[in-house]
Amino acid sequence: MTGRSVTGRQVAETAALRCLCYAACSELLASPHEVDPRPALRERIGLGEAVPHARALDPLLAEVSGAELARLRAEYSGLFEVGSQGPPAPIREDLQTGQRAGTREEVVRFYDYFGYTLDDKFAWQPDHLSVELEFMHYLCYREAQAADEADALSFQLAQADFSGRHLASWVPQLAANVDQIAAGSLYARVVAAVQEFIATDHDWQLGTIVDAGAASGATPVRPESSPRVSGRTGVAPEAAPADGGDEP
Amino acid sequence: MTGDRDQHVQITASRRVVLHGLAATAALSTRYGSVAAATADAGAAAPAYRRFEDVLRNKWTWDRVAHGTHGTNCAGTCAFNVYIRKGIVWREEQQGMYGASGADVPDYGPRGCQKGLRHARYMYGPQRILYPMKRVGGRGSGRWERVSWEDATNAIADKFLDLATTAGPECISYGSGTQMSVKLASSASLSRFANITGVTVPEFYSGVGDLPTGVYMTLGQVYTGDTMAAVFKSRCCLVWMSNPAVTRIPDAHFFWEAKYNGTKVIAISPEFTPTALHSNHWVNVRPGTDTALAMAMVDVILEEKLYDVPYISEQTDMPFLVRLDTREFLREEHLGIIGKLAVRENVYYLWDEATGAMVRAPGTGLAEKPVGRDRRRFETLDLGAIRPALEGRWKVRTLDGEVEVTTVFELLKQRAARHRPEAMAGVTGVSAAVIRKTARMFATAKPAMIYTGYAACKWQHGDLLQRAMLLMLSLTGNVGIEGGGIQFGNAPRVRGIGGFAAAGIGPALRMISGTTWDYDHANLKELNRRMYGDELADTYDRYYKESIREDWFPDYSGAGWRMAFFAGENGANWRAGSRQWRKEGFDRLEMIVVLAPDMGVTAHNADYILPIAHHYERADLMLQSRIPYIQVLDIAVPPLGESVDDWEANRRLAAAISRRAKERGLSAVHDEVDGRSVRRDYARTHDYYTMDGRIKSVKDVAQFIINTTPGIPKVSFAELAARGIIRVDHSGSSAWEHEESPYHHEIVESVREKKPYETFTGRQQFYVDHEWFIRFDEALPAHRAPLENQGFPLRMLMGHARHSIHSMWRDDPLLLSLQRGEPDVYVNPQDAAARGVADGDLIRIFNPAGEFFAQAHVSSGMQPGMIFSYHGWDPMQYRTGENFSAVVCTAGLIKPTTMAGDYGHLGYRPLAYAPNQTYRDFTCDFARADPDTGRRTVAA
Repeated sequence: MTGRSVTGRQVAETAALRCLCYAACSELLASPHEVDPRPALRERIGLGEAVPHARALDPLLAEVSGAELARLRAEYSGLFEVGSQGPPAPIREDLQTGQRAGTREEVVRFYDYFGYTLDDKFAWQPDHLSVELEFMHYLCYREAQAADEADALSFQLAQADFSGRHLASWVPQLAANVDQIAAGSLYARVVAAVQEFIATDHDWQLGTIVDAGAASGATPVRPESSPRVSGRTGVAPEAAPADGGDEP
Repeated sequence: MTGDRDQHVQITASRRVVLHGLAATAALSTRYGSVAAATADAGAAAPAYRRFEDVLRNKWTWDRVAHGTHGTNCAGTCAFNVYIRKGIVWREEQQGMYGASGADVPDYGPRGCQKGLRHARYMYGPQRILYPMKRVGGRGSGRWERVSWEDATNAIADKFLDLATTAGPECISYGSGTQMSVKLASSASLSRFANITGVTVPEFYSGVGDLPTGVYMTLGQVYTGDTMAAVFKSRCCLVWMSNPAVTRIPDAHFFWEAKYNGTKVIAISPEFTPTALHSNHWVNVRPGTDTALAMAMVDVILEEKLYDVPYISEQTDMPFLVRLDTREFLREEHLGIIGKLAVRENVYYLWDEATGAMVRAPGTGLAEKPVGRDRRRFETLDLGAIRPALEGRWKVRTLDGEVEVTTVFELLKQRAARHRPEAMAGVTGVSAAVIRKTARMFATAKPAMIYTGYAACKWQHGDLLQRAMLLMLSLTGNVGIEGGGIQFGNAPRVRGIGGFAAAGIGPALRMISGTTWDYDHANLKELNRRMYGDELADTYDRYYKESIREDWFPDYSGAGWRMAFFAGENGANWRAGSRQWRKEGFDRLEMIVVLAPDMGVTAHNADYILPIAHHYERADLMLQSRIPYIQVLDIAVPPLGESVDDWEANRRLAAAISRRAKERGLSAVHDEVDGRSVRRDYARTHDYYTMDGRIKSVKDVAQFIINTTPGIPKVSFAELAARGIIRVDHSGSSAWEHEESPYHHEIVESVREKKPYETFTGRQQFYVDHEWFIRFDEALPAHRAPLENQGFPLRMLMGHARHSIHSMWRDDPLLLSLQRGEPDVYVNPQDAAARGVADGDLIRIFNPAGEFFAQAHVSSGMQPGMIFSYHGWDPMQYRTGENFSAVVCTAGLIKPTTMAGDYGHLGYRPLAYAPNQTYRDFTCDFARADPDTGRRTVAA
């Protein structure tokens, strides 16, 4: 059996900062019809100075938090929520991936396993990008406050797997989709920046995970279950599982 | 940590990082959910996690299993269990809790089909409407913005009030389609809203060409069907204009079990259907010649004396005397001045062979009204000692002098003789030998039935076909007996719907045939002129206007059509003559509001869309005729997004109308509905709608219906939700077993208890001596060739699909993968070869009305000279945004006799007697098309 461990992280700092980054990402992509995201986002301006791979978020935090709410609502809903043949760019993983069997089930199992329960109002869309990002925020939070290394390890590995199997897998497709429909628009830039953060952060996570059972010593490994991603290029993963291919 | 969404936890005090005032601390800030206290507390033990498989190890369990079904008009009402976890419906399965239907007939359950079993996925699909939407681009541009319910309903209410208080509410339509009609509480809610506001409801029963007007002409009823068990009881079942192997998946087993039990199941259809595949015999009649086939079989029955003399003497008008000079029935008013003064037009005569004299027919006359319940209550069909002659001619002294009379039976023989099998073989394509063999099989089996679908109503002369079918049945004594009869669907008498619509306010509902509404508001006379020529267009229009002028049918054309609501229907999908309807009616509307759970072409072209809860997100009741169970729709999960059920959507509209009326200081206005003066106080719309707040939710509406509808078991909605299905009172293997059952059984009562029928003659009436019927030579049924478009050789037929119920589920990806994945049209191999078309080619189907593009599905199951398209495909699924209705040009073909009135039972009667919007009397052609034609979709 191959064991995995995390080395080389300054857990206390990185987890806390990444926790804030994922919160910012979640807020950036929350529906402005549900809540006005601007006050919370205003508080997070400057995050990029502490987290280099979140640097691209900073100008968007400022731009979104300074935008008219009506503009945010119109642009968001026109892209992600309403359309004649469904939203032009569905912001739910299930829809972006063609309602692949098992997608939502695995997401819900992750949430269940770590005690994250959605309110009734949002329960029907556990695969919403903003919700998945909030879950990552929550895992980072738990990592930050872990009682010991073993405890932290659970959250670190869970982040890598959840991100790899879900966010880093499908958000590039969303980003490409939005770019095709509304290149240069505010939310096209937000999605691109969030996608960049997810991909970079995922790579960063994988870079600190080692396979303790490897014969030649500690070697960073990619979790076996994670699909290969090419997140930096903003294109869909070339090895995206086929329908039902990753049925749990 | 539930309730603690902003718990700031420092990592370590010594390593706090401060950047421009930003505290680099882990701050748990959850918008969407909560975390259990035990896991959120700092330092709490984490669940051990090493690999993703860890999250899969726990056994998957369900939070709840709800009872539900799919509130759509397949008439299946299949009991399903709906499995829920974490607020999501993950799967459903058929529920097998139906009881035995009888000792000698198969059971009703389990029930279900592949569409129902896809719904747990479909309801979360991309087509789902989740939020109120406002159009921000041009109509049909696909550009939308999400808006709040308040903003949407305020805008809609403002437009409503502008029009209702100036032009009158009549110019605002509230179309309710088949998705609405079958959900009892939703239907009642809509009816109440319409009753209060005064909007016009163009009913869809005739509007989609489903109304069996020929059955009504003959029997005075349209609801003549029994449960599916009746199929098993039949000894010979003609499945005609119907394809139950495809369209009634939960019930098809009744046909095949009957076949294995010795019943002759005979499919009659132009195309080789899946039903034909499984039947004992298949009669492949040419499209549009079914009446010729039926009348030829009538001729065989008469010629070979296979008829039931006692039955037709008592139950039908066959022995009634008819004047040969005027072709009218001999009536009392013809015989003497007293009868003339009293206008005793419902007294008819027989020739009694026992006395050799003319006698008054029992059960005619005396009642206060020419038709109706009084006569059923006080009179009888019992002939007593009378032995009516069926054949012969006699001279009778009348006010006009001596005239010769004969019987309807004699006239029928003459009419049938015009349809000899040998002559009809050339018309129908069915050999005389097969016609005779089929007629004999049918006439010598008892009970025998004709199981027919609504396609029998979709030809212009479908009424003649139904009358001919009933002739076959009645001559052989098969109407009104179990296992026999004409099996259109029955319909439960849900008195609670009408009761709820009018409770506390009285009836003021504007309901009109969707067919006449379209004729008036889409200038369909002009379509007739372009498609069928001036003579037909002018003639039909003249009769149409005369019917209105005579007040036989209501006229709601005066105020125009300026605003429309569409609920539970995809009205821009299925119109016959869609281009004309769009151009002259729909596209000119000042506001279009769609209430729907899923996107379709009607919503695509709307100004506002209101999101409606789907099948598993709402409470309601369903009750159909084919299985005697009331079925619940329970709320398995809350409505997704901001969708609400129909009750609540109409309540929000009512609230907005009230709110804006008060803000605008509007006082009550006077309205007039069918001659009655009605006061409309729009500021009180919400109070009226909710009965001053006593009705709080759709469950209260459902309970109202349960409590006030005879035959529905008196249970609470909660109990029904817990049980899923409950058998209706007084139902056995037949829907006709008890007068207190909720089903129509008037015809059976007439046969069993000799009660007069609710027709002008009080009999099964095959002879109609209305002057229009005589003028068009339709006093008795006859084959009349269907119309065609000159130069276009192919007839296009359509039918309900295996993989959708109307347009619902038509776009489901998995179901599409079981078909061709895109709209297809079935063509005959010879026809395809003659046009250089191969299977899978894109073809253009065209005629003078328009064109559409679809994939050629070359099939030897099609006759030469016909093409076939399953219906339901939405225009948005076609290359150019137009579907099959682009070539269906029949919407204006309002057959004059179907607007006849002032004749006993004939005259406008909502949902019973009205002209159908027909779909068949046209021809077209096809050609190979450029495979790159059109865009794949029309969305922006």
